[in-house]
Amino acid sequence: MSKFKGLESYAAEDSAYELLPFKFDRFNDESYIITNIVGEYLLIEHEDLEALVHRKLDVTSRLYCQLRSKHFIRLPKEKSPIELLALKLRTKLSRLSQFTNLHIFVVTLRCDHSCPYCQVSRQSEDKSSFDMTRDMADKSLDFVFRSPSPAIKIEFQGGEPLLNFELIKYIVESAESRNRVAARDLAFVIATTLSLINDEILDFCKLHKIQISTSLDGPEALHNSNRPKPNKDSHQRFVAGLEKARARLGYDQISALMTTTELSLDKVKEIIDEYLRLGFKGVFLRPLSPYGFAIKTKRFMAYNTERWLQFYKSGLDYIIELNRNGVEFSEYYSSLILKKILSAQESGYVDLMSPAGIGIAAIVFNYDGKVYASDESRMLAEMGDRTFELGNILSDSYEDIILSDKLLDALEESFTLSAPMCSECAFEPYCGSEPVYHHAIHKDFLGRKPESEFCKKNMSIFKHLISLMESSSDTKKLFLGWANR
Amino acid sequence: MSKSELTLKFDERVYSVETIQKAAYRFINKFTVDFELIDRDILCHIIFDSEHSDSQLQKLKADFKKEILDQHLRQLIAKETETVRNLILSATFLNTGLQKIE
Repeated sequence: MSKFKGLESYAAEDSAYELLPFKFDRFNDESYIITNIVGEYLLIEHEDLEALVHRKLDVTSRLYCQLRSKHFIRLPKEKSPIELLALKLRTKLSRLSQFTNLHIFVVTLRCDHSCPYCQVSRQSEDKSSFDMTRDMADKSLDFVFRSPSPAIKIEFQGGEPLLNFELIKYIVESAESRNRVAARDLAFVIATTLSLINDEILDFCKLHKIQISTSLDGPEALHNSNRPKPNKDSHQRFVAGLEKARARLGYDQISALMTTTELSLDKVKEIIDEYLRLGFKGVFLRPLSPYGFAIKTKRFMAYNTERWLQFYKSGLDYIIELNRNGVEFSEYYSSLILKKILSAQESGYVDLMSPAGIGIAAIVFNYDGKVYASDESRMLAEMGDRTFELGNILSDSYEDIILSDKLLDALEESFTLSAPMCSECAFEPYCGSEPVYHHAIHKDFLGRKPESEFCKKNMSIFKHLISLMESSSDTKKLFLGWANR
Repeated sequence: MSKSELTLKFDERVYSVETIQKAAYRFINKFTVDFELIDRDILCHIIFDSEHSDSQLQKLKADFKKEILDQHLRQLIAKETETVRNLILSATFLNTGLQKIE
């Protein structure tokens, strides 16, 4: 006699299991993906989906065990699946009560570069009328410390923010002074090309633990072509600035972002190799966004989503191959998505949130006192679309701005759990609503999803990442590492 | 031979108009559908955005029918799990201070 009872002993009589909420979609010609209320997934055959819904599953099958363990079904009156799903859902939604972590200060619109794809309409270096004033900075800090978030990140952007370094110093010191009472987890980031970095700036960054977020588009020729300067020395200045900054602040204090132009499309390996050569541990493969100069100069139309996906997929293949050969390197957009697929944590990435991240994950104080719901919102405003302009920091209160109809309508109308097609999409737990993108392209907060390139891009990435994991246990192990970092 | 329109007929005892409308929405980038109700029949007049060969048309028609089946199944699942979904949401927001106590 066996010491253990067989699986059938634990099954409900007459296969009387109950369904828990789940959604499904066709994954490929052979299988369906099913996801539960917190985004755990399984790939199953069509016959199994029918059997699952019509109570015809074999209770001794592996699939039945998987469905129970991942909370797609429960036995009658079983409480633990409900409690566990509620706990995971509460974890995923916990950010909502602690809204607005990222506060972006556009301290100047002046810039020393003239990148044709720039998403902000930049002005030349010598126009101080494009600088934020101290009064605006003070009022913005009043706003920042009204946020209920225990963690506050202040990011300085431009233009080139280092062209108004005096104001950065003023804001950092004022914020730290206020924080002696407010006691938040306060952090600072400067988004800079590094072309103007010097010892004085680095000493200040060191003293105040300021991180640097910079831009690297690839090898020298590509970077210089994407980021023109009169002396064609953008890459050279970047490398010199990077070395200097790392030596003073430490390796992990500097991160870099890349933007994909049409020149990048057949150079994904070279781009990744350049990141590796310069000692970065990962790359964020980013397509161009449909805002600002990228639209004016028609750069945004230079390639379509399909072409960018080819670029992304070959880059990802190369990164996986590097890891197989012992080189630790990751792709950050994939990591953000994998966190949503493989854990109960939310990545906090503004583009992949529902309710949308605008205003409640990030907010922007512009150089002219205007307050925008996100970085992309101010880029849209530079193009003449002021839909996401929430108010003016000099004349509007915190309540006026954060409770404005402009913000609340955009959040409510773009909510994926009530949006046509999104509400029933199996990939919804991994996706976001992105009202700013859809407003830029489709002139409404939702857009029609079958026509949305945002939907096409993300659905393709979700499917690709899951396919890679399902076809290789090594890749799944690697992705688990990325998701849990 | 190419076509740009066709009509499909469904029995409303089998599929609801809502089920077919939801399926049609997913093809909004390929075709639009005008609905007509005659007795117990739901007539779907499909107007394609561009002309298609017979084989392409057969594929689109088959995909649309499969999607209607999927939508039907989705509605069954949503209806059956509505109570438990509300139970999970109640448990999620319990003690978060976000519920109004009367």
